[in-house]
Amino acid sequence: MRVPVLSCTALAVLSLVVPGMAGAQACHGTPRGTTLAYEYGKLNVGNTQGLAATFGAVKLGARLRNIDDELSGKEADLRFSIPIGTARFQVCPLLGLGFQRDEWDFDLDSRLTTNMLTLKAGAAFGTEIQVAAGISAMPFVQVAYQFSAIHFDLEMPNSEPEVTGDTLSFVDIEYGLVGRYRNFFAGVAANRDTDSEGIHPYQARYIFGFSFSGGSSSKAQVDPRRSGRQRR
Amino acid sequence: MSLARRARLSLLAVGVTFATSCGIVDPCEFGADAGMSGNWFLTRVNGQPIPGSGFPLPFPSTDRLTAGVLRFKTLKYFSCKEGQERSSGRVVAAYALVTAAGQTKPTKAYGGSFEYDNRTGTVTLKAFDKAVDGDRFGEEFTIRPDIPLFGSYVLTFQRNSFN
Repeated sequence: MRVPVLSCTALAVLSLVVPGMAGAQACHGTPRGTTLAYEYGKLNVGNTQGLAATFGAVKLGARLRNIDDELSGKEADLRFSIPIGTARFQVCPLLGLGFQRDEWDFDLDSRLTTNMLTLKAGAAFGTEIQVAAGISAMPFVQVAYQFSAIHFDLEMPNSEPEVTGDTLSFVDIEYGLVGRYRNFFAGVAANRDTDSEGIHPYQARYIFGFSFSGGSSSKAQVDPRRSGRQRR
Repeated sequence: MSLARRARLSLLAVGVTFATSCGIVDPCEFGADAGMSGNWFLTRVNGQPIPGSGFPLPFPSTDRLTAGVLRFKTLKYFSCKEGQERSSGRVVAAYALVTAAGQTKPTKAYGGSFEYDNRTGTVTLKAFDKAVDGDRFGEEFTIRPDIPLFGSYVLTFQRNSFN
């Protein structure tokens, strides 16, 4: 019989996926449920500042980019990722969409506006480790293929600007460590790509956040021996 | 606190200290004038300074080339080694023409991306997946002969101001 086999498989997958959706996204360094975080990003040139919110499997982020006196912009991203496994070890396939807009005032009346749309697909891996009562650490790593389409819009007086564009693709690696104490969490995440050399990333984000869902699922998921004892 | 938890906490502290001190979570920072950033002005065509009346174009046209500029803005570095870095960012290219009668025509301008490899001194300008290659020697940058751009002309630029 084909249907019961399929149903069993679906149930098995759901039994792994659903607790993960409700619980912490340790694979992204995020406590369970709804969270809100302030993120400060340090770049090779300039910085970013913004907010990131997670609602279960969905993450929304919006940031301002301050590169220098001439160039600034904004960016937003959306990520959908379903954790598979428990908080002890999670694998999270992910899909992402990003938009970035930069404005470069390179002369008094001249500006290059860059609009970039990015599609991302990959997977993240992470765990939540209880290090003391109420305190846990979430190390994580994410590997994703990114494809970006870029549109350049040029404004220059007394000129005939050409509309141009470009595409860009690379594999982005994000890694980090987030610590959680009750509803609060803080940590750092860094990004590098496959072209990077040496140990330095091209971006680091410092994260300070609050979870509206009472912190981690670690009491239930990280230490099954303890929950087993409680049941007895 | 149990011994195992103390051990985990210590291990975590060591890991965080290591990652921070080694720069694993710390991007290298460069000033705004590092890499290719700045304005690079066209100074020579085929090794010759541009005359006041302009330089004849390499394809059938009565227009003459009078000026050109490349403006670079570096946004990303792929390596932190001083003098060995590779970087990428945005570029604006513009050039000015005059007619045979000496009338100024509107400036032609393009926006795009660039990649720079300081180890080999090569710069690639990109727009619509088309690339133009050039070589940098200190504060001088030369675009290799490239048919779609300016025929077989060799264009030499010099950086004379930082942004």
